[in-house]
Amino acid sequence: MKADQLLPPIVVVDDNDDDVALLSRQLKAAGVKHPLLHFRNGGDAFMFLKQFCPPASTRVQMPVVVFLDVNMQGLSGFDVLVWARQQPALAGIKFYMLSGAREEWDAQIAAKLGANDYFEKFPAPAVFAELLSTVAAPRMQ
Amino acid sequence: MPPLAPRLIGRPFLRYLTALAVVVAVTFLRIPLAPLLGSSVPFILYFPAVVFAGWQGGFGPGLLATFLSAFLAKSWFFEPYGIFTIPNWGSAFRLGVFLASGTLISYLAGRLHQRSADLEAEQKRLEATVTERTEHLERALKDMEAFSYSVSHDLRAPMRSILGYAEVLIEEHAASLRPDARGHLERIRVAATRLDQLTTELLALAKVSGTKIETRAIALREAVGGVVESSARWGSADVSITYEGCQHTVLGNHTLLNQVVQNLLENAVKFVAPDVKPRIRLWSEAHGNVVRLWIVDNGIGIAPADQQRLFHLLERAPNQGYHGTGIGLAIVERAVAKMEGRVGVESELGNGSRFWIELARA
Repeated sequence: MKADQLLPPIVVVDDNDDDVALLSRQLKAAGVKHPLLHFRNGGDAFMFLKQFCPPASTRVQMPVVVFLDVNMQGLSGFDVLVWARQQPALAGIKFYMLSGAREEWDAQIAAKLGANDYFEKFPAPAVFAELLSTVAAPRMQ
Repeated sequence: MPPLAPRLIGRPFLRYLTALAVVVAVTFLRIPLAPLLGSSVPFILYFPAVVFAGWQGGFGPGLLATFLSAFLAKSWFFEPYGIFTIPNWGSAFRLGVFLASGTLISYLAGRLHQRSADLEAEQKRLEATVTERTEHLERALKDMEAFSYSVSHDLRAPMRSILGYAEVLIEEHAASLRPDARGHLERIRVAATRLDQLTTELLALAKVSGTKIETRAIALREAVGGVVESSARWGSADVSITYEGCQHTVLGNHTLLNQVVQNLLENAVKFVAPDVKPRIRLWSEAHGNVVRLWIVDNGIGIAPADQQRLFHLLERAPNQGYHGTGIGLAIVERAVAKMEGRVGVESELGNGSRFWIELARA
């Protein structure tokens, strides 16, 4: 294992640039060192994740965590979640839904569709630190 | 153009057929009685037949029955048999009376039928109006939900940005800012926080108003327990909440009751004197078929003069240094009203508050 192995990325799918900047800040404050990949809509995220199904050696590492904004034009966060949870190759990725307001109904649906959790934007850095600490260490591709 | 066959066998046809059948049946009944009665009472059995025909069929069938009966009566039971001449004025009179009364009965029956049909049409029209209104209300409700959802997310996003960047500036660039600039940023932060809080609570209020109310039996201990156990802020060492005294079951709505308990607990925890640890006790008591849930705190209390306006929207009891929007209790009041209950408070300044809500006992 190389000492300077690049950490696998964290993906955030959100059409709001300000929210992404703030998320990035929270992650930094939590001491998270993984690089952050930003996609502005569900379609782009889908194209990115598709390259890992079926598993193949790619130059990019598969992400460990994907943050999905609930409220997007076109393919919503839920659409991406539903598709991703049907791909065995992506089973190791943790999916977290991010929402502008806490809606119980959305939270229940998120759980039913296989999301790992549902947060109102944004939880404290400590929460992110805990989320990322449960993620497996980088492994050789 | 609908096919003719079903029309023929439609209800009007059946009614005339029934009238015909009844008259014929009566005729067959009358025949064996002819030797007994002779031609003394030729119409006697035909009267009930005409009444029945009119009652079940209306004017037309009644009229058919009348004239058919007259014809058959004249043929077989009225001398001279089979000849359609009137022998004397007496016979003519009796025939005339029968025809006239038969027609009158048929006419009245016809009117009755018309009334009944009119009522049925009116009933259908009213039902259609009610259905239309229900659909309209459901659509309005859906629009409201879509509006609420949209406001929740789209309105709060720019507020998040304002708040977020203000905090970034304060936390990361404080050193390079002049003190008055830092002060301005702090005020931006405070204002944005308040704006966000107001929006969230107004949305909660809108949700409560729009909630389609479905009530069921709810055990108070579970409802209160659910709220208390759900949030870390109630469980900290600094806050003490006891609710073992919640013994009863009420008729209510789970979402609304949750909101009510949550808002009341938040107030109880928030409005305490500095350096005082909030101690809150909840219990229930039954009065007849009503259950009263008490939420008693050790907070700063509310002067009697201010208690009137307490539940009004955006009104607050005057108190220094406690942040609040004035919406929380308005939500409580509206939610309780939706569950057909009541809410009230007993309190004095400096002596804590005793809030209560009353709901139907389940």
